Amino acid sequence: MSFDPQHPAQATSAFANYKTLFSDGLFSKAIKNTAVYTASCLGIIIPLSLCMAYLFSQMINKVKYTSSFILLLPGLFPPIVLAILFMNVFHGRTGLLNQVFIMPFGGKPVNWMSHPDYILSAMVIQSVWRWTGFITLFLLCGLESIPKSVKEAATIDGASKFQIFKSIEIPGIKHLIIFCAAFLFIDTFSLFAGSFTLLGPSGGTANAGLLMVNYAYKFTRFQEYNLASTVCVSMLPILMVLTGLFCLRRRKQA
Amino acid sequence: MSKVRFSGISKIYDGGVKAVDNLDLEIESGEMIVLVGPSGCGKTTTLRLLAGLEELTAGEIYINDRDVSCEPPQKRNLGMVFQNYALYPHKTIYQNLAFGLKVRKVKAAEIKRLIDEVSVKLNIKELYKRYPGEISGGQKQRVALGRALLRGSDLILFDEPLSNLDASLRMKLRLEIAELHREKKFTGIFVTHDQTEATALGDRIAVMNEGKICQLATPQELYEFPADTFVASFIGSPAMNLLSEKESKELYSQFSTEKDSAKTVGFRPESISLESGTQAFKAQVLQSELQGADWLVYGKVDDFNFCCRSKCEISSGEVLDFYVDSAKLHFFDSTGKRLK
Repeated sequence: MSFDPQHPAQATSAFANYKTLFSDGLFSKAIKNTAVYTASCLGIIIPLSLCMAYLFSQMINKVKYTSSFILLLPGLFPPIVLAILFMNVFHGRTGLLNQVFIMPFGGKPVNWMSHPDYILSAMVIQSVWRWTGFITLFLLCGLESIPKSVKEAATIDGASKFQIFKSIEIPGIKHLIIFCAAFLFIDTFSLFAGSFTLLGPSGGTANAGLLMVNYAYKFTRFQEYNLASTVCVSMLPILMVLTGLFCLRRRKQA
Repeated sequence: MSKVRFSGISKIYDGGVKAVDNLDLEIESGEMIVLVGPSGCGKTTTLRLLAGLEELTAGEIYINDRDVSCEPPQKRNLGMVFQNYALYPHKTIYQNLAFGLKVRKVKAAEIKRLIDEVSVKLNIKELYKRYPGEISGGQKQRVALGRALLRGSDLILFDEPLSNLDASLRMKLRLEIAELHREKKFTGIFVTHDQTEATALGDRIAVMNEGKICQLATPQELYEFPADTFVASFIGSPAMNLLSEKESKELYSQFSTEKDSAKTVGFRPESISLESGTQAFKAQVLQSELQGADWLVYGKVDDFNFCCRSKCEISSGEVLDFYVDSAKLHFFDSTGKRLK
């Protein structure tokens, strides 16, 4: 479908849709937004979860398992429910984020959902809230599976807690970290419902929150299905290459 | 050189289980001491207390007259070999050996030199690039031994290091450890539940039961003068025959005439002869079992089951004269303590 011309006038080339797309400034904007969004989500969630998982692993069992279950809850929300919930968090004046974290410290309320500089951050915050607990639980299980005696051997060897975390525990759950990163990557790269509910079909002010899938959706509103599918098809190589990279690293480890 | 002193140490776990109970022990430098006992007797806990992997409930531990009771394991400066090897799975053998040195900021060239020296001795040099998952159990334990030696301490703890190996390998590594000890003169504390390992390796052996040391002595003393019935039945294979009144009144009164206060009489399977001796008794043979050079013969008098060695097979059901030398009898009082 992506090779069928959208408009009969362009019937000269099979790649007419791609040409149209690449010359559309929004396409590169959507790619850039998606890249920034995906990278920041991964860059924040993975290290944050790792630190949290480590803290949890140091707690006594009772606390550890109750609190990690609570952490799991955000991940169980369907993205649409989550987005509606977050409308109350991001609201320009009465939102939770402004009321609790910004205004009490004398900051000016930020209109998270309409100011082009903040839209993407708002979406990242939402994703961080959703996935951090879930990923923490994964990594916690990984940390728990490292034999106690291996860590004890490292203490006997003279390693500090930080050195053990860095040289024994993180390498010990490397495969899990890679899995979580791949999972997050696929989820964030193809996010739709979250941003759609939060921003509507427009992609936000000045398209600051326009992601790839929303971009594809935009075309369908004007029955430009061929262009929409062109967007989707062009996502495929990116997903394939990056997921392939994850797998390649994985194989090197094994 | 490292000396170790336990002074009244106790360990009570959260559930109220008393693993180690007011234990005193002094270990001379350069000595190999073996803690032996049945599972759950507190021997491993004692070792872990010394390593700092468990917290003391009471008492103090001194290494070279320095109180280390509250110090973390990192600061106690000792090497340890674990039962399940505890190698770092994602590191190569070389990195495994180098980790402790790296942590202590030893220069790379020096690390290489030290590791090469130890690896040649332990015959693990060709394993450098392999991962722990790719080598055999015996090789793993050699690497773990190397890691403990590289810790740069002359105090090395062994936590049942040979239990996971098969019999022939166990014997081989046991000899290697003994040789290493002779050569390097480190102070060793070796925990095992295998009494043959204990008698083969230990300069002195501490037999433990229920968190206490029953007897601390050289292997020979333990064998010849067990302090109580527990040690008597634990050291020696097969175990010492212990006879009390309730098993065979007649036989008991025959043996116990020499010591009035005795409640239990013991004699080793090796002390029973089929030819001559000062005390004779008749017993029925239950069965015989070939054990390499000689046979183990199981016999019975009333309710008293005993075991002895014989040069030839004896068919079950036969009634024979057995002889015991009175000089080789052990006497224990009502609490199980040895009578002088």
